Amino acid sequence: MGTKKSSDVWQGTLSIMVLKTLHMLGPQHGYGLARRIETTSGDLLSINQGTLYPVLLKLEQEGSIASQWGNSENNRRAKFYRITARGRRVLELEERGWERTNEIMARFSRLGEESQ
Amino acid sequence: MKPLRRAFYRLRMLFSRGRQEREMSEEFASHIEMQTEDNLRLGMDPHRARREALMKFGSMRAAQEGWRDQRGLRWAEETARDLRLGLHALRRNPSFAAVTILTLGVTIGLNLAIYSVVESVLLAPLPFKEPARLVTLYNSFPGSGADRLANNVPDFFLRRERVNGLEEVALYVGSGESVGGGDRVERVPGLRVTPSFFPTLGVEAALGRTFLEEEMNPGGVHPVILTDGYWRERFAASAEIVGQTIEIDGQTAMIVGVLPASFRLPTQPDARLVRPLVFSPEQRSLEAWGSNNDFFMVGRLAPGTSAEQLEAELASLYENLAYELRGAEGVRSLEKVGFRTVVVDAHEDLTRNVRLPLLLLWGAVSFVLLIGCVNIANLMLARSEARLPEMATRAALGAGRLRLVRQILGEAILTGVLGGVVGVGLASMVLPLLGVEALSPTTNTDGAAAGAMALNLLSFGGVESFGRGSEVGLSASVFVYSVALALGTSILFGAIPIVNLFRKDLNTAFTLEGRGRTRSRRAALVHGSLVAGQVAMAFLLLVGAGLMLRSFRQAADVDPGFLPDGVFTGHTALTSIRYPGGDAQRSFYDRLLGSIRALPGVEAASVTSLLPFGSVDRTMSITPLGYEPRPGESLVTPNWSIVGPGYFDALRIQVFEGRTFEESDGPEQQQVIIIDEWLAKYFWPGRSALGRQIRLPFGNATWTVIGVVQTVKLKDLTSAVSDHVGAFYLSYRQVPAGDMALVVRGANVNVSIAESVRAAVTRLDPGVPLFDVQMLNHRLNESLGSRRTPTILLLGFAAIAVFLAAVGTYGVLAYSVAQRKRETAIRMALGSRPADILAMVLKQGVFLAAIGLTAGAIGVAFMVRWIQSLLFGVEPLDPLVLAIAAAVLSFSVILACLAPARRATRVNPMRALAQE
Repeated sequence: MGTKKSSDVWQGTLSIMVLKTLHMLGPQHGYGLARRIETTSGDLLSINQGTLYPVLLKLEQEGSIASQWGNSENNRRAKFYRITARGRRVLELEERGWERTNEIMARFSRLGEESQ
Repeated sequence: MKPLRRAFYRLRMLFSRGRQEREMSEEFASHIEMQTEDNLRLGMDPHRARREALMKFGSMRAAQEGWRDQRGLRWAEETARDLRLGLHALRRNPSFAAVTILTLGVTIGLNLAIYSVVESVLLAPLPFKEPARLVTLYNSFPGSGADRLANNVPDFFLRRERVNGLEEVALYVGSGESVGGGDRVERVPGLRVTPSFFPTLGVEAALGRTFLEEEMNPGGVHPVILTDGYWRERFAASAEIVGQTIEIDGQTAMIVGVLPASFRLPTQPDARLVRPLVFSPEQRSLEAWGSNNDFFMVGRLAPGTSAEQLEAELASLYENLAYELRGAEGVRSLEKVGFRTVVVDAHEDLTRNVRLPLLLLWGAVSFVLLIGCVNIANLMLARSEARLPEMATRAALGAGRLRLVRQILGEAILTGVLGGVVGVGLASMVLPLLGVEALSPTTNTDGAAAGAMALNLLSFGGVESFGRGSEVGLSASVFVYSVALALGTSILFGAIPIVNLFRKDLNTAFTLEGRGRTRSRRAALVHGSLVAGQVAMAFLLLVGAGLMLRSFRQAADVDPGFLPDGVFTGHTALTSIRYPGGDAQRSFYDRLLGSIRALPGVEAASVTSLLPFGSVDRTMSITPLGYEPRPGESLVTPNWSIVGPGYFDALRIQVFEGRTFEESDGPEQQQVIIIDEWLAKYFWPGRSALGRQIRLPFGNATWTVIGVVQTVKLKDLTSAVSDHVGAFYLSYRQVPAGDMALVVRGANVNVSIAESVRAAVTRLDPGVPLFDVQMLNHRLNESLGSRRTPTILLLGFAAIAVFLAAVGTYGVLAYSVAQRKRETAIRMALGSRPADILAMVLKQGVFLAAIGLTAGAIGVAFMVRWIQSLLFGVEPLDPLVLAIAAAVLSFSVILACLAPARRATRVNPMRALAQE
């Protein structure tokens, strides 16, 4: 049970990172996404890049992203993902949620500091 | 989220599964290639570049699983895997598979066979338009002992013309028709109906038309309508049949229509052709009301009218009518006999006699199925117990309990489905087989369909109805029922081991394993109560079957009042064209009897218009001269028949007083009548009836009583004495008739005498048919068919139930003995003798049987109330039946215990303990 919850959080975090990346950088293939996320998030995705794919599939099923086969810069066949209008909305909502959470968390941390 | 959208997506993915899988692999591969290329660019050697790329991607398997999980195929794949595992498990243990599938197949097959009859007879609506509005009507005279009489002609016209609650109403009656001319006369069962009959039922002709209103009037052409079966068989389904003529009863009749193949009348399934009922003005007049209640009536309720409303309307109609005709006295006489018209739902009425036996059989096969399921549940329970350590190991290695549950369920459902398939196969194989065996050339050549035939099964005891039963087996409802049975049973016997699995802490399995598996208490309890339940159900079935068997024996032992053995019977029919008057009819039978009596081996021969157990019923009111009716007494309407000299001798009916008819009681002599003991005692208790004068509804002269004979049963051996309304006899020499049955007695007479009798008839007139030839005792047997068939089936079901319960007991005890090997070994090491061990196991079996019998006895108390109306001459809690059932069951259970018990005594303590 416990592992399931944390993997949910992981999936959720990864989803936002995927959407954000696609939103900022335009269409990407899976490997490209993995690289970007790796560089921006530090070591978070340095191993187990494969776990990205179930998340991509989930986002596609929800309609937040769409995929299409194409050729990479090195002329290699790859599946390219792009964010949809729906995905942008989801991203916006999620970001706002995160901001609020961060704010609250920050306030709590301050509370702790003050009481000390 | 958008569940619908996701569901749709997943569904689409499901169908393009192969392509999706390929794309996933390609995508993953391309990912790794790109990483490898980047690594190469960083200066790694090719080998290392690839390895690093793979490491970075992480577990390929995990990614695939996660991807597939998301794709939603997991469920389907796991189900397929469960079923594969189930199949594997069944294959690994073929004898287990064979026992369970066969048990299930036989019990489901039985259920389907009975259900297909139940479905076609009780559940399916009558095959007519808007059948819910169809009702049947009866005249009830409870005051004179007649609860349900049929209807008379004025009833029809009254109810048709003066009643708003009926949209349409019709009379019908079964008939026999002599078809053909010259010496090629064929006797065909038919139907006489009012022209309103087909509109009432909502049946239209497939070819031509149905009857016209004016065809109910005397005169004009004689129209006839053929059933589909007769049209195909006799007229080769000729499309130009309408307008052709055939000879019926010596008259030319014109074929005006052919009925659709779907037409069937459950009470007259054999009818091959239909003719209109023709009524003279005298028959229709109100003066004729109340007598000749000879016709069945079917009506269609006006929309929005209930049967109760119609009854109320009819009640006021008859009250007004009685007042109109005879004033206050008329109303009083109706009230005296408690007259009322009874309106019954047609479907309920037509299935009245078979409903309870059918439900009883259905209940019985359901119990058999349950008992079979319990056996399978016990087997699976034992197996899951044995697999507990394995399961515990798997649970410890991370298999969720759900996986284990699904594995058990997969096996259960597979067993259920295979059992269901075997069951359907058995049912569809067995039904036609039974039918073919019972096919007789005189019946069942008709297109009469399943419902009617199924009715025959129980009302006439022939299993010929099963001939159509196979067709019933194809109906959607039966299919749904079989699927429900297969899945329902598999969940039933799958659930028990699963519940057991959940109630256990799997970890204890390790410790138990370590300690050498002492028997689990809880499992023992489950096993034990299942066996006790089986015994209880088997007991219930045995008692039910026993009560039915005793009822049947009692019914068969009833003295009909005559000696049916060695009596040949057969019907003749004289057409009114060739034999227009009484003289011609009298002289024909005079001469026929003369030549039959001369046949070798014939001891006595005569004729009767009302053959006992010949399915005809005639009543007529009689009034003794000078008899003072008691207050509140109504008219007496006994059965009556026209017989010939020698009749009472041929049937060995005892003569208590006076004499029987003689040749000399001719048309010019004194009119004589013979009454039965019941009438004699009713009118002249304690005094002689001889010489008394009796008035009948026809003719002016009175009839002199010349004899009193024994009361005989005429159609039902089990009818109560109170149902009897007496009987009287006239002689054909004084009251000639054209439709007489022959009765021929001889020490060695059997059906083969039919040829000599037929020859005698043909010598006199080749145009007179001899039909429906049977030995009299055969007719009596037939009349018991409605008891025999359910009884035989029930006995068979009970036997299967007992067998299955014994198998169940055996299985559980054998398992228990195997489990208690260690305990037994210790006991023996401590000095127990084999006899003690034997007693220990037997005690366990007897204990289970005792609990089962007690529970069964409680069930019996509930059951008997329900089946009481099916019993005859036996108390519902007949001690003999109860004792025998208990004994049979106990004996079977103990027998089943013996083998495991003896195995227990052969435990070698040294070896058993050394195994630990």
